[in-house]
Amino acid sequence: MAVDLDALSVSNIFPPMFAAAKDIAGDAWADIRTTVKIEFKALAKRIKEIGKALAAGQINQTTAELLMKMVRNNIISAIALVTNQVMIAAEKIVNAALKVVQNVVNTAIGFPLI
Amino acid sequence: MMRAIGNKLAVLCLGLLLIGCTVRIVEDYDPILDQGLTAYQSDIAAFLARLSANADRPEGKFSHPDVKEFYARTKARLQSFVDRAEALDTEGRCLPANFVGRGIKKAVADSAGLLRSSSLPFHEVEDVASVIKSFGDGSDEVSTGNCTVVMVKVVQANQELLRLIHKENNALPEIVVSIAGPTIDQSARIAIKNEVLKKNRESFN
Repeated sequence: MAVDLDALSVSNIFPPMFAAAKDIAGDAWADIRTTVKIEFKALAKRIKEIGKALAAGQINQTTAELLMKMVRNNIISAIALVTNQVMIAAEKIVNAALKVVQNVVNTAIGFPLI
Repeated sequence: MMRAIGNKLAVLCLGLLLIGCTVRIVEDYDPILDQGLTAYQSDIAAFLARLSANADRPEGKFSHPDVKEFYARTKARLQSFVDRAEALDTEGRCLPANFVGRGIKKAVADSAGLLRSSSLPFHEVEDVASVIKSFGDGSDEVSTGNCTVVMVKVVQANQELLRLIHKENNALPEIVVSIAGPTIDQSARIAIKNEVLKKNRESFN
């Protein structure tokens, strides 16, 4: 059986791996940026509202403290979400690169080995 | 030389593929968690709208049986979500959230200590220190576990904070609902978004 060893070279494998990773990383960064913008803007708005309501005597200090804890919790939650977005982007990049290798190997061998 | 490196790389990649290597860092999508959180999000929105409209009536008071029943039922429901998320991944850690949670607690503890040792009048120091200390309380508890667990724990913690606010005021006036409502909605939305993210990842792989 003839195997095309030239097809299994760095110059054949690396460029499509890099291109796949670059595309995914670009999309992921746009999503992460959107998440950070939306969630942290909303949190800043809530902090301002709590301060205004407390200053105007519409809520008491205990209520303000409890509301601030909610906001603090959401800061932690937003960071957890962004963390998972980054991790999933990393998964996609690695898996897309492996898929490129799979295609190159199958083409070089001449039948779907993997 | 280049050909030798290329062949080694090819063998390595081939090896990874032959062992069925699909990299998985984040825990799996959980449809039950997704549906449960979505149902919670609409239930809590309806509850808050009803309570805000009835803030001056008996059915809006903290002591009303329907209100007590809602809090008890929701508490059990959210605890089951946390238990489920934790059971699916007992080893996972969400390091950035964990650092932030512990960091908040440490920062506020240090600030309270500084205020106590300052030359401010005693009663003022105590007030400020108690406010600052209360901000840090519980921040490390919600931030333990994997990132999904952290997000679900925050939904649970915010629901409990709502119950405490209701108890403190004996009602949920419009101004409180206008702040607590979007904050609770945000915590649920973040946790749902996380599930959608994992679901979309499944289709990609």
